[in-house]
Amino acid sequence: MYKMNLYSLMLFVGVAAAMITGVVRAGEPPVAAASQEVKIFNYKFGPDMLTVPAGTTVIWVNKDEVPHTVMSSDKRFKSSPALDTGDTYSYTFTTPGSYEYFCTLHPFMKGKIVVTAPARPAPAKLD
Amino acid sequence: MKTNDQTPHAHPLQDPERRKLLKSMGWGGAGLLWTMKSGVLSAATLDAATAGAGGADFSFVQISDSHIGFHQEANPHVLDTLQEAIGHVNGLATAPAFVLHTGDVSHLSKPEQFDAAQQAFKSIKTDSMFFTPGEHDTIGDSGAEFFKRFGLGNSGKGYYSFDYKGTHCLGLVNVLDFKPGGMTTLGDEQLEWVEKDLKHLSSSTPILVFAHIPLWTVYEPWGWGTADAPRLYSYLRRFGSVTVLNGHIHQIQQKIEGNMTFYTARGTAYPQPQPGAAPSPGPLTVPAGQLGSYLGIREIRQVNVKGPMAVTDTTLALG
Repeated sequence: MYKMNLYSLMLFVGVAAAMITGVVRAGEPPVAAASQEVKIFNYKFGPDMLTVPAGTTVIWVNKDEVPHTVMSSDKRFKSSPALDTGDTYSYTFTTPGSYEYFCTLHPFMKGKIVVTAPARPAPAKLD
Repeated sequence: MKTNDQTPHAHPLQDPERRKLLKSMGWGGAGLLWTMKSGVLSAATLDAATAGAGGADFSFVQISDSHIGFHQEANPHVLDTLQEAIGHVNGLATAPAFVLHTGDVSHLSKPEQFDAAQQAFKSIKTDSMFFTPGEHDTIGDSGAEFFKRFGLGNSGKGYYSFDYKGTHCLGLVNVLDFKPGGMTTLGDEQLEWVEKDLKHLSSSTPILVFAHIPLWTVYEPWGWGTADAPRLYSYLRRFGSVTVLNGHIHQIQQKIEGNMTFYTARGTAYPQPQPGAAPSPGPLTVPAGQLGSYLGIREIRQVNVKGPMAVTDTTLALG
């Protein structure tokens, strides 16, 4: 039976959370950075407009039976390769702005990522 | 001729009465001329009297949308169905002068998919094959792998023209110039090339045009059309006989406008729904045993240089 004291449990959870979300910033208390998913299904991006704070990783998941791609309409972020059924593509948006994209195989499929100013951690309560 | 005809295209051979009529008219692969007038599809055999001058006659084949690499439910064996289609081509009464592939040779533009397709094409009994890329053939590399294998043609850009027995043929590319959120385009550079290419031809030259995505608007919500096609028509309209062959939609749709006849084709991989008949144009899984009736090849015969080419579609089910 694995015995954990409270401290090592908190450490484990903190590191695990940081590892899962892919961000551990040196010199700062570990903050769980967000990742958000866009599902590609029925020839649509869902949601077709997603608002996220800067620093968020957007993960596109192709759930269609045909391949799709994610291409930035004005080339402001790196485009995905061909995504076959089940493939994913991740991109971390660090600069606020509005990023329109479409699928090069089916250009009527459009989406937008709106990136807002970075989220600040909530101030710690002192009482 | 109304251009937004989205009613399903009844396959003429499904009606037994019609089949009998066609048989009595001497249909035996000799070539049927399908025309649409006032929304009514009618068939007529070719009158020997309208046959063109000897030497200008020839037949060729169109196949399309082989999607090598596709492996979902709608057809887990696309290489097998391609080979079956090739078997049908080789079984035609007249060996085709050449075979056109109107694109989506591969499903994901992968080298091994192109390899497998090219290996299959080696068994086609014909002198030449001509290709135009589909959007599945140009993923991530603007068609570099496709053009490496199939050539860039006499424009150096992937589109090209050639003459065969007096018919002037143009292979165009409409999968490289997409407008986000809109339909594809041929692009100004290609259109200027076409204008120049056609400029000095007499209007009695029969013209054949082929490209992957339909060169008329079959169904805009699914991107089934080419936004700058009207500019192409302006260069083609003066010719007495223009035949346009496309693929992409995995089903037959057609349109006649003046002397221009447009056809899309069945593929050899998987069916897609008719315009608007499903929430999306995804692969259509059909009941077991029926797949073959949705896949097929097309034989086209040039017999009357003054008029439309004769088109015969056959499915893998009908043999």
